[in-house]
Amino acid sequence: MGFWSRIFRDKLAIVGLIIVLSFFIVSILTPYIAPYDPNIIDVDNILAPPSWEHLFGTDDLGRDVFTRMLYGAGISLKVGFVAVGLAVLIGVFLGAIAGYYGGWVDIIIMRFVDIMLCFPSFFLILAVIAFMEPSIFNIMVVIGLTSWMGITRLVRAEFLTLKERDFVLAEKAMGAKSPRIIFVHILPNAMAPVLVAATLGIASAVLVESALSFLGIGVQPPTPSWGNILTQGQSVLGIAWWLSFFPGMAILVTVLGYNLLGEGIRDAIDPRLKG
Amino acid sequence: MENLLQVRGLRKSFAIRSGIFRKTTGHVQAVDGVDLDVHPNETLGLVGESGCGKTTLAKIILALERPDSGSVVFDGTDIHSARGQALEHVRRGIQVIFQDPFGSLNPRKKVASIIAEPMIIHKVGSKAQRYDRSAELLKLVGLSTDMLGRYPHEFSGGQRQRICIARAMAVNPRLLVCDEPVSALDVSIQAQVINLLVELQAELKLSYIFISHDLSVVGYISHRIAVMYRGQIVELADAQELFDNPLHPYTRCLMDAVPEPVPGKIAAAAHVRGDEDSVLFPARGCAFGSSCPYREEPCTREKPVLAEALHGHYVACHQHIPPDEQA
Repeated sequence: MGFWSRIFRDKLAIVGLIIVLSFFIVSILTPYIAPYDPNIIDVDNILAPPSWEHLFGTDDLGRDVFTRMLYGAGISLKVGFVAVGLAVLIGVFLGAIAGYYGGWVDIIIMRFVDIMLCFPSFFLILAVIAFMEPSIFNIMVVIGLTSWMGITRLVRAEFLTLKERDFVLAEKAMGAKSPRIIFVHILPNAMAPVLVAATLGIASAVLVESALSFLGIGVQPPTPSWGNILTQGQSVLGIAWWLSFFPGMAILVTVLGYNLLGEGIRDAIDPRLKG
Repeated sequence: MENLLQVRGLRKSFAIRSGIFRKTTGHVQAVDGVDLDVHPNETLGLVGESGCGKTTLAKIILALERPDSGSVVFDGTDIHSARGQALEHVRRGIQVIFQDPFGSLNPRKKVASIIAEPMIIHKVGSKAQRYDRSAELLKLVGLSTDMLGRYPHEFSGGQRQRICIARAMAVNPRLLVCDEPVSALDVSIQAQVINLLVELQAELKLSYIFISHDLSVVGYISHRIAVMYRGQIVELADAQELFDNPLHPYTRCLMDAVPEPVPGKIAAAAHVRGDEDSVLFPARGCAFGSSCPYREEPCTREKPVLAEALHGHYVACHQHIPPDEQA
């Protein structure tokens, strides 16, 4: 049975896929479906509860929360994809080299991975961000630079087994150069676990971005992000629950969606791992 | 006759490491002083038991492993010191077929690009030319050209081995190293693949080094046969001569071990004892010594060397003194 038919039989993976796709579509269509301007202040409607006019209510400046969350969805996705993309690039490159060449190259790269893993990553990110101008770009880069280690280990492990396979020996015997063997022949065979790790990684990148924005060192107001809407909601939690509830739910559902999809892909790639 | 491939004094040992600090605790002498010649348009069979160094020897000939000492000269070029153009020439001239037809094809590539791979590596032709050549090669090995767009997992073992052969033929090699090419196949498919190899040799004037543990398969395809035991060539002769007149005790053991389809005949009990220790620490004398039913005093003292016992029939055994030294 093929990959797709296995994925489509897995109900939870379908739920994950639907969640992920709908957030995608929503963030692409945001400018067309957003009912208001995210930065228009309406002093007559401060902290209005959810209504048909303001689906998720308004915040302490009278801005429409639904609109701001739509824009926040785009930012979360962007951060998730760019950060994980960067992590995958670094992780795959270092893992491939470590696994393929072995020896000293392997030892140096893998000890560097161990060192990076010694830092509690969230505090490492906090420390690095503290020295930089908080911006979306910086957040993406920093999250990417602190989350490639798992992928390096995965790719290295795949390379260790794949490089002993006969088709790789055949390539060498034919006279193929190492870069061709690594990137054209071994890498495509090693990408399945990377795809799973990347999907799960997006979930944690979204979480980290929200947490950083919540702490005020992530996405800076007035740019909306689920994390900084939560911050606004924190001080008025007793009187305006909607300001905390909806972004919190959005984060939860997004992370859940990516995790379900990631696990679904993993099971579909290798049914033996299910459990 | 000019030799296509000339192997001289080849040695290769592997360290055995154990413990947490991976300390070297011993060596396996995988290839222990091998001399071989392969003539143009000839099949040299290489037989021996599992672990006797056949595959290591093949890997050294393919320049996948570096020998500890000795040389491999292909068409006048030492393959282990060749660089640049000379190495390209060697890489094109020697191709390989492996035992496992499931592992030797990249599962993510279509047949067309698998067969075109050696041409891409050696920058032969344009994309369209390579595709046409792939189709031609597929026909040559008896598969239909509409299979070019399929993936390896859609084929049976015998078909995959044909694809491997097509790939090996892509750059017109002169020597094909076949490392147990039919051992993983059904007996009926084995015959087809071997016959294909025989036909290709007649058509394209190729040389083969045909490695197997199966004496009857090797006997069928080879012109000359080398028998390998614990890293050494113990006997080398024309195929017919070797079967008619096996001189080395180990060769005779191998012959006895070939099951014959004669009802009622019970195979002679194998009298080769597995003696693992001596693989790791070869005794001074003959490697086969401890298992040899004809062992005599010099066998434990001195290592026999490969010498011509009869015309064109070489054996490494103290029981067979070369004719010119007999007097």
